[in-house]
Amino acid sequence: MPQIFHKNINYQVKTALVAVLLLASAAFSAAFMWYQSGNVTGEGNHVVQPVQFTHEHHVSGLGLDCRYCHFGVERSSHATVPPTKVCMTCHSQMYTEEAMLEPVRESWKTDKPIEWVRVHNLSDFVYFNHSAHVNKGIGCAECHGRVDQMALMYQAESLHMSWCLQCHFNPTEHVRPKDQITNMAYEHPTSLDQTTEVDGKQMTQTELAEHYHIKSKINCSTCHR
Amino acid sequence: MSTNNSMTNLDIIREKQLSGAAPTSWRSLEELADTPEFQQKMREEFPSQEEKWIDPVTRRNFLKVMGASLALSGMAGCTGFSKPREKILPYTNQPEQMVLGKPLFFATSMPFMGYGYPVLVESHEGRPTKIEGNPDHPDSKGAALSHVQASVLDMYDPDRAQLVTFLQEPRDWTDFVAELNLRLSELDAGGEGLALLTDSVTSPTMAAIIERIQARYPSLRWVQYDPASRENVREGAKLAFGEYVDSRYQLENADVIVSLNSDFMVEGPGAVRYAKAFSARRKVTSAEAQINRMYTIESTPTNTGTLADHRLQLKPSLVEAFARDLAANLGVAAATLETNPAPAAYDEFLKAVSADLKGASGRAVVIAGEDASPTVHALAHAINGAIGAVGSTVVYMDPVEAQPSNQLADLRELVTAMNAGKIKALVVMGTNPVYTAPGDLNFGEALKKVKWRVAHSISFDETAELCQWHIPAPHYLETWGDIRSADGTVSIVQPLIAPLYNTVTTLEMLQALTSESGKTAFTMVQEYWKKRLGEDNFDKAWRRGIHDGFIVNTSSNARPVTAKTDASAFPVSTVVGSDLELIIRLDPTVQDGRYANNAWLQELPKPFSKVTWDNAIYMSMATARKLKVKNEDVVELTANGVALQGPVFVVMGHAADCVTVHLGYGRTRSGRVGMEHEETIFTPHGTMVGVPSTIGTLPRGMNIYKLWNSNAPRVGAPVAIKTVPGKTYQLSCTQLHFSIDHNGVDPAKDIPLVGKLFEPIAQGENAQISKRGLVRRGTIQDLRKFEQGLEHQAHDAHAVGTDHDDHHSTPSYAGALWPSGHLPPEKTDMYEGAWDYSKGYAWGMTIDQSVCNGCNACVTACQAENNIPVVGKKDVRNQREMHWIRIDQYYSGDIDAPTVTNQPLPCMHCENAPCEVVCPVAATAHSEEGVNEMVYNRCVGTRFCSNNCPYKVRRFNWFYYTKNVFESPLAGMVSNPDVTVRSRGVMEKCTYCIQRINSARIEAENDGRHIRDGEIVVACEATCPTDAIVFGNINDPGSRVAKLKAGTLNYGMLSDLNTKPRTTYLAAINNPNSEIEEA
Repeated sequence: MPQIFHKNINYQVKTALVAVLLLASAAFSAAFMWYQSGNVTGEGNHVVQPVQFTHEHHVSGLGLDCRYCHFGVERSSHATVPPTKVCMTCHSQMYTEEAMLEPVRESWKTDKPIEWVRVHNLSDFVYFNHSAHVNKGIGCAECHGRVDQMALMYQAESLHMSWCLQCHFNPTEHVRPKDQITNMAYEHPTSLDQTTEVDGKQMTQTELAEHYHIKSKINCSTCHR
Repeated sequence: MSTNNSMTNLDIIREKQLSGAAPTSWRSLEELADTPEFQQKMREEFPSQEEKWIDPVTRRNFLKVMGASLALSGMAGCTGFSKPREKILPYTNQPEQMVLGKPLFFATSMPFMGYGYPVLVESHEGRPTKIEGNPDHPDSKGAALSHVQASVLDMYDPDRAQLVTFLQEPRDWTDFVAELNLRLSELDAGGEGLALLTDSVTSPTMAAIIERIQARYPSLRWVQYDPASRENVREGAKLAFGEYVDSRYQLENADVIVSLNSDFMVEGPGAVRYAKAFSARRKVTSAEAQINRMYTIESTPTNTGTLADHRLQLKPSLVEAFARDLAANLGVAAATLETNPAPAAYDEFLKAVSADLKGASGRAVVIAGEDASPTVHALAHAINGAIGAVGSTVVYMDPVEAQPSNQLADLRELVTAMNAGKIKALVVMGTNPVYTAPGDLNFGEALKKVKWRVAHSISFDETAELCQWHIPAPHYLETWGDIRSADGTVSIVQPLIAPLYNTVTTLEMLQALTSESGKTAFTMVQEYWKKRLGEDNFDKAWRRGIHDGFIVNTSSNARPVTAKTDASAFPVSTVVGSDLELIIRLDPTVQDGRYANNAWLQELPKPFSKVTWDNAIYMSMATARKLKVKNEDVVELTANGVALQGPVFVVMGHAADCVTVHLGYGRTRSGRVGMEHEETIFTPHGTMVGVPSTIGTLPRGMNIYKLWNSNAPRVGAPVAIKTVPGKTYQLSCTQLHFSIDHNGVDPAKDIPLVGKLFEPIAQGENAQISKRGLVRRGTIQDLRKFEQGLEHQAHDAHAVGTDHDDHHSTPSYAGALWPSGHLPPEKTDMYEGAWDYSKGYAWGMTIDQSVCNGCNACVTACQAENNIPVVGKKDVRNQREMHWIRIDQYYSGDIDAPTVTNQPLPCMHCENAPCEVVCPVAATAHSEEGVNEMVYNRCVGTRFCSNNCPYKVRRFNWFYYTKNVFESPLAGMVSNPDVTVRSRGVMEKCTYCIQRINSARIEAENDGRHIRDGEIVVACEATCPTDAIVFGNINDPGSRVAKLKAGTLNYGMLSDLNTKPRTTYLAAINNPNSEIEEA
């Protein structure tokens, strides 16, 4: 019986196999990178809001503390997106005719909420608690980035579970004195020996973590219930 | 589930009983017979006989569909872009006290048959999600029964009436008022021909408005009606005192309690108060504890009866005979009742009870229940007077109801008047007489003879169907009002949410009948209380009342009355001499039928039978054998001239020669839960899973109201039973589900289901604690002996093997799952380098079987707290119910009159958890605090864990049971936002309410302190009316749970497997009278 395939086919098949393997791994890597990117996580993406509110102006320009608007942050799981009334405390006096603020005035007049677009969206099975972090010396900027430099709000980090765990495994270097929580420009000590003044005492990062009784939890139920 | 050969089961049991080979303890008839089928069923995780697939899908079709959906799911996963953007809608003006993300709690009161049940409602951003008892209120003390907790689901019921309708066409409220005024103007000045039919009224504001209506129309006929509840209680009091008087029991003072057909811990408005008081006197804190003693004489087994030290099963006529004999023994002149021969134990029991009551010098009480005849009530009052109980264990007070009346007699008169054409206009409010009136009255037909009729109710029910106008009523969480609880204390009913629909409050509806108009319910309640509390301090008192949930010093005044001591004139209120007696009771879950559309209550296994979604004809084993019927056989009941067919269910502990049927089923006009679809009723393996999306057309279960005759006693009327050969009806019963294989890996090891707490040691007189038995029982006398023995042997404490330190003990049993012999002594766990749980918090739980009466309150609490879905009748039959805590009832002793032990079973949170090692994806893992956690987002649904759980506490989402949570905006609103809503293909189980642990931890950490004992109250613990469940940190020696775990009574179930369960049980201790043989 004559051979069906020519001898060269062997090489062609081998090459094709290698090519398929290479392509598959390339495709896999590409997909992986894509999934890690902001296209999927939302990291770094600006969001169009009903009112183009600028954190940069309100924080760096006017020096408002985060907690002026996000007043639930120390007491609750939610930081609280400010009710219209908070906007109106100032804007009933300032820029009262500004076209950009029309939705705010409209909301105040009609008692209908402003429909803000959520920027940081965790999955429904993740239960993050703001108060547990800010009361233990984890600053806002730790997760939200330099909000004072964001003209438009965006998500500064991936919010992947692995990103959460980086800090939960090793919280010491992320801790800061509680009075610096909302300080966007706060810089952590560069080495573990360097001390910071906390409550009138000089402390290293390790001492600070102990001072705040930091026992960062890595049980599943810490975040998933 | 009942097997098809229960008949043979009954015969096998009989044979075993005669030959003395019957087991001493069991959970179900099937287990008692111990057939190979039962063994097979117990070994399997899920019954293999049942259909696995919902549709008759062929394998080829299945693969086709599967292939397509796999491809689609791949597509869905590959969108490659971020999640869709969600919106955040903040308040425009946020209420001051509100912190987003933290629930607020409001006190209010749930109306049920006229009485208020004080509750505390959890509200998330204005959305009521969970109901618990009001801890400050004397009639609740934090506990609430199942139907009270489940009432929150009714508010979100999509089948509620939403519009004012005239002949089922939408109308405006103003249209109705205009027509009402027209009709009222047609009446003569006295209002002759106007009738008002309401449920029982205790609300002071409502009573005041009705008074105004009566002043305007002096001839108004006002009738109150609530079915099968307190008519015997009221009439019994009238018989004894000549006037209506309410009694309040003070069980904290009672050493001896005799219950005559009374389920006082579950039934009636004061149930929770009595359960709390009873259990406080029942808990064995030490061997010296003086615990109370309870004798129960009952026909149908009751939850309260499971805690009795001595229980006598008598049919209703014999209960009355017993009450008469007891009265006579205690110096009350009472005529004895000549009745058919009493069981052998009767005389001995009577003697012992009489002696105990006499000897208690006033610290005793006799309680007649809602299912005892008026004469039994009157006799109980007379006995209480004779034994000096009045003032000590029972207090008489002014009736809580505004105008107590003989409701059945009034209703009968009203129907006569209606039939005679004397009623021209009828307003029905808050009651559903077309469905709930006794069958002989034929209320529906009489109603049609009334020219103008209006119904005011929360849903469009049977009565609404026959009325021209229907006015939708709000749910109590949407309205203002006031109501009185069992002791008369007034609660202000406050709304937690704006009305979801265009509803009209009861007070506004009544106002339309007065000459006033335009006032809201809120104004009316405030005006009334301004008058009563005085203008001066009104604001303060009102605010306080709203905050606390009740107005202080409003309980009923004591009334100095004396019961008639000559009881010989009391009429015989049962029918004597019939072969078979009929007992008609409220259903333990759906009550009188008002909760028929409440899926939580429909799926709640009814105590004793564990039947869900249906009612059945309960009878004793002896009666079933006599009638030659078995479970699920359809029989025909004929009582009071009415015949009705229904399935039989054999209930152990039921008195012989009587049958029990429950009201609340067979509704013809209800919603998607309350009605059945044709396919489910005729083909039990039909397509229905979960809550159907459409309303069925067939009634669910039997309508027992038809069988009830207003002239015959509700309890004890003669009944005849005829078999219907060849016809069966399939019930969804959970009795056999999740039976624990207690013999485990070693069949030779015969662990009794119900073990004795103490076993005698051969060489000495002292007893040793038994290491056997899933459930352990003992007597206080044995406990005392044991503790004395301990003292004597203090020098050699090890001679007595105690099991109380299960937590650290290292069992040597070779069949243990993790035999300690294979590991170095310091590592008795299966893990390399066992975790050290001795630091930080270690969560644990104890459940006291001495006080658990199996009332199901914890099951509903868990369901509401943890977003547990409902699976539907068909899937319950397939053993797929999702309850995280179940109540197993164990029977022991005499097969015909067994002792029942209730065992609530949540996850054991084993330190050596067998479920964890088999999970391929680590979706279940231990926390450092010893909680066995479930990570839903990681679970792939292999079900290995549930297969490996010796306690069978894991539940699998076979289907998308939570679909409606996502698809219907209303169904989603009742969900607890702190707990993930699970999807299809995910395993779940008790988490020790991890959300409550975490929130307490964050609170404590934010304050820079440790979690205090009692700060975390898990859902089942919070609501338990008998405080049987205690949760806390076992590493804190001062905590309640640590103290209980250190006691003699503490034991871990199957702890010989070395699973080290964190949930442990306290053995059931009772206090038997040595004069009575059995115990």
